[in-house]
Amino acid sequence: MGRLDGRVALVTGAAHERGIGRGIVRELAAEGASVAVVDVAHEEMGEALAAEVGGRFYPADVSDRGQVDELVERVESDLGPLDVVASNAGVADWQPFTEITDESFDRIVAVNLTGAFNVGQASAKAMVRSGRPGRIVFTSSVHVQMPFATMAVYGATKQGVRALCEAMAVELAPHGIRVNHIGPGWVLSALNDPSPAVADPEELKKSLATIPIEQRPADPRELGRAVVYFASSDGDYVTGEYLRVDGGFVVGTFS
Amino acid sequence: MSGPVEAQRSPFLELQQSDWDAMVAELRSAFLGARDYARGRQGGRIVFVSAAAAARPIAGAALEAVAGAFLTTTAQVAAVELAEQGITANVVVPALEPDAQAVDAVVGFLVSDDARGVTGAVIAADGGFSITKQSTPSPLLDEPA
Repeated sequence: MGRLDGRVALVTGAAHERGIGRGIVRELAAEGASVAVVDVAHEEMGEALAAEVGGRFYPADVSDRGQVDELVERVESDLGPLDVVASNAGVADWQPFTEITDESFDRIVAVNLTGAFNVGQASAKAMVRSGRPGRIVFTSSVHVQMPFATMAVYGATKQGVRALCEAMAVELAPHGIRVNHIGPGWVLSALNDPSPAVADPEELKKSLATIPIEQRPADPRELGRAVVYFASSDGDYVTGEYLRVDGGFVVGTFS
Repeated sequence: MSGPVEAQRSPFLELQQSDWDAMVAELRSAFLGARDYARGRQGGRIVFVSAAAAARPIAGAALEAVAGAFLTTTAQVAAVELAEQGITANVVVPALEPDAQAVDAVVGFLVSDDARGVTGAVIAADGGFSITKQSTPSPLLDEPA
C-alpha cells in the first residue's frame, strides 16, 4: 500500500538522469502514483524513466502557456484528474551582476518564474474544475534564504516562486488545494554542471565540506521524499510552507 | 531607484497572461536598470521599492508579491557583489496602499551618506502593516477566491 495509491501526479523538469525531477518522479511512483514525466528535452531519458515507473512521458516547454494548458488537458485525459503537481523545471547561469546578459535574464525568468506561474495556475484551475483537493509543490532553493554572488537572476526567480507559492496557498485554501515548496541545496544535477564550483573539483570539495550532514550533495530522491510528504495525507495541515532539504547547508558554516 | 511595484490586483485564478507579462516587464526593467547603473561605476546607491505582499501573502496581490520578492533578492545579491564598487543595494517595503511620503523618507535615508554602511537591508515603511496579521480575509477581495 502506497501513500499515493490511485493519485495522478505531474512532474516538470523530470527527465534528466541526474535531476531533482527524476528523484521526485521515482518517489511519487514508489508510493503508488501514476506519474506524468514532463520535460522540454531529454526525450530518451524521459521515456526510459516513464517506462521504469509505469508512467508516461510528455514533452512540453513550461515557459509556453499554450503548451502547458495542452499538457494538463492531455495528462488528465490519459491518466485522470490531477492530484499532485511538482513544478520543478529550472535553469541557471553564473554571471557577475554587471555582466548579466538580457538573454540570460529572459531565459531564466521564462523557465523558473513564468514556468512556475504557468504550471501553477493551469494545474490549480484543473484541480478546481475537477473539485479535487490537490497538492502543488514548487522546487525553490536555498537561494530564498540567502544571496549567492553571480546568481542574481536565479535567486530572484526562486524568491519569486516562494512569494507565488505563498499567494497561491492563501487563495487556493478554500478549494482544499495545498501549495508548498522545497528548498534543495547542493545537487549534482545537470543544472549545476556549468557552475564554477562543479567545474573545479577543489572548489566543489570546499563547498561540499560546509554541509553539516555527511558533507555530500543530496540524492534527488531525498528531495522526492519531501514532495511525497507534502503530497500525502501527512501534509494535510501544511500549506504555504517551505521544506529545506539541504543537509544543513544553509545553517552550516561558510568559508 | 525603482518602484514602487505596480501590478494588476486580481484573484489568482483570474489572472491573465497579459497581467503576468506586464509584471515581468516591470521587474525586468528594474533589474536591468540596476545592472546598467552599476556597470563601471564606483560608489552609488540602488533602492528598490518592493510590495507589502512580498514578505507575506495577501489574497489578490500575487503579482506584486512576486515582483517585490524578485527585487528583494536582486538587491541582496547586488549588495554582495557590488560592495567592492562601493555601491549599496537596499529595499523599502511600502504599505498595501503605499504612503509616498513614508517611502520617500526611507529612500532619502538610504541614498544619504548616513546609510553608507547599510546594504542588503529590507526596511518597512508601512506603519507596521507587515507585523500585523492582515492576510485573511484580504482587504483586496470581497470573498474567498
